[in-house]
Amino acid sequence: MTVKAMSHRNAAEDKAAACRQTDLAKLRRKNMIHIKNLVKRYGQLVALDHFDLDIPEGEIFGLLGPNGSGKTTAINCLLALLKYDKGEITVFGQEMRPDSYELKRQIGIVPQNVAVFEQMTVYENIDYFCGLYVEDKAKRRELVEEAIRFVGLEDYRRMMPRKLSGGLLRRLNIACGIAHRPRLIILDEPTVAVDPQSRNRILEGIVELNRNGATVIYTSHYMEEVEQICTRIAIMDHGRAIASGTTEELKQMIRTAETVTIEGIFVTEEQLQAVRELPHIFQAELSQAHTLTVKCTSGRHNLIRILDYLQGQEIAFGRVYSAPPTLNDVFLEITGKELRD
Amino acid sequence: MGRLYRYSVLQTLRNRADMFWTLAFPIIMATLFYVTFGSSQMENMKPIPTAVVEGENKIFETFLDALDGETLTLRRMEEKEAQEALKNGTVTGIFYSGREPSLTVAGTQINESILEMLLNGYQQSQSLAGTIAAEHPASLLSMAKAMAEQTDYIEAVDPGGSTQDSALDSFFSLIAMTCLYGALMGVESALKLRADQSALAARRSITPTHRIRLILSELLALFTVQFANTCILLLYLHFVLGIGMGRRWPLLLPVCALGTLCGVAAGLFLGGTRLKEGPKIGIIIAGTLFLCFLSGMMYSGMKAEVEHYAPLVNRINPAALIADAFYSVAVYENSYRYGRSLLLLAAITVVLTAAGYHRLKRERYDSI
Repeated sequence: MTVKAMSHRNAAEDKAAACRQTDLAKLRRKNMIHIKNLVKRYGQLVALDHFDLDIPEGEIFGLLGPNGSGKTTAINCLLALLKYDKGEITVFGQEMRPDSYELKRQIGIVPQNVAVFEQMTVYENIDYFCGLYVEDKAKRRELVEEAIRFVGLEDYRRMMPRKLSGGLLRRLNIACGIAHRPRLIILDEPTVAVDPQSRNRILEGIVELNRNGATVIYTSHYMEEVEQICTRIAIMDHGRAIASGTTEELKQMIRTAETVTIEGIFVTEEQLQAVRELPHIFQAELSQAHTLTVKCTSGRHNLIRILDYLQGQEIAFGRVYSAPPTLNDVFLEITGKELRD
Repeated sequence: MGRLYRYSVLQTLRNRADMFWTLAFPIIMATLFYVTFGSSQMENMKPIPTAVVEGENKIFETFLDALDGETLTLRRMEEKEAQEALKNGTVTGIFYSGREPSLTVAGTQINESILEMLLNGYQQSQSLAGTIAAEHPASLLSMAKAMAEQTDYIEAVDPGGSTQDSALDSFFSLIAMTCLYGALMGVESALKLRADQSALAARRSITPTHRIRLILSELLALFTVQFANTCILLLYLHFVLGIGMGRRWPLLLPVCALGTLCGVAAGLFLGGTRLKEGPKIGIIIAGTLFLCFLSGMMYSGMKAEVEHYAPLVNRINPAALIADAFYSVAVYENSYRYGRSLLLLAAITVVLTAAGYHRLKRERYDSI
């Protein structure tokens, strides 16, 4: 074989490999979940209002919204537990129905309320739920042990749930949902009423599950958590996904690029108006506690410009903070209300 | 399936509240009944006040004299005086010592039945008694005592289905109550099967395990535990309290099995409704007690009253059917009534099981 021929063959192989990788990447980015135009009504109340959602494989996808925004309803429709009035739901490219047992085999759910058997030990609970997915006894034993290690319940395996603290109980709740190594894990507000230490452990665990290959849907009304771990986020309100994207993409959707907070300040109405008229500032509000909150659009040196003005006017003030926009700012600007209202 | 069944049995056995109501409570009730009825039965063992109107049958009078003291309290009276005493209730019956001895009673209670049995016994052995009196007068006493002992095995039986033995009424109704208390377990179980009732049920509903396997494993597990509880109660009644279950006691097991299944199925059906847990438990406890009341647990004549005024109620009341089947085996030895009770109980159980399954098989809900 000549060098030229070898070179041609190598080029062809490289091209084929590149194609394969592209296909794999496409496959990988293929939507694991596709929800289109979903409508769910409870009598007169519209819980999901033409809700659309696409979740690619490999993401930690956050569903962020206040209580009652429709997060859990969306999850229950997705899992074929709830009837819906209209819409289309596919999981792994197939329609999700109550008897879609093969699809269900690949899904793990961690419900909002702890859902374990009170009369069974930690080990028995995990074994029970794992056994609903995995028939093989030896494999199940291995998976149960792995799940116990994963959530750090090694010392509690023979304990009854009623003897566990709130944090440990949440960990058991998670272990029961992930022991069978699902491709898709749905965690519905898993950190509600959990102490900070357990919360951090849970969040770290979720990231690790994702690193191990699972796609995660994480619903929460804690924006800090969602911001911390989610690769993509959909913000929900009144049953609609009002915005969707990465954290940065969401923040770029709003005018606020920086929020400057100045405490212990006394300014007149004229001075406040003057602050509002500084470049890149679109909002300045003074609270009754004498805290001035200034919202700035993109632009450099916003803080310096504000402080220069205040010093020029010989206005005294206390502590000063500058913060980039949060998801709460995103929610606030889009809906006109706080996320936790 | 086996694993699901084992875990369901384990959970049920560890549920202290359910085990109290389905095992400890009936045993406590049985003990209380025993203490209560034990004393009244002692009263029944007192000699029966009986009048004798003397006549020409000296052998019969000798026979009665042999029973005086232990079984009867005999008072010799004139006919008019005896009838007055019977009317006043100072005597239970009047024996007439004529050529053909006869008996007059004013009621159909157990004491009257014993007197009747004594007379029948004498009449059946009349020629033998005559021979014994003529040839071995001393042996007549032994014969009379032997007849009196037979009364220990006699229960007063009414072909209409009632009995005068209040203790057995209560004990058999208690067994029925225990069977039907399987409904308590059924409700608990249904709460863990319907996704609109608990997070645990929702979690189980979205697994790849087929719904019928989940329901069947629960049903079998509850049946096993409650059937065992009922058998423990039977053993306690028989071996500890000494309540007789008759020679054909194995026939009681299908009754207990069907009764238990009926209770569990009723619980699964009720548990599958949208009522809250508290009202469901309340309905079961109150409902079971009401059915047992109708079958004679609190008032021994109740079942007979129901039989008289509304016999259909006795045919569709599972507690009455269970108690009746027990009577048919332990007391009457009446195969027809046993079979009828068992068939009706089976029909009710099938209906309840089908209804319960229909309630629980749902996989998608309007709201959760």
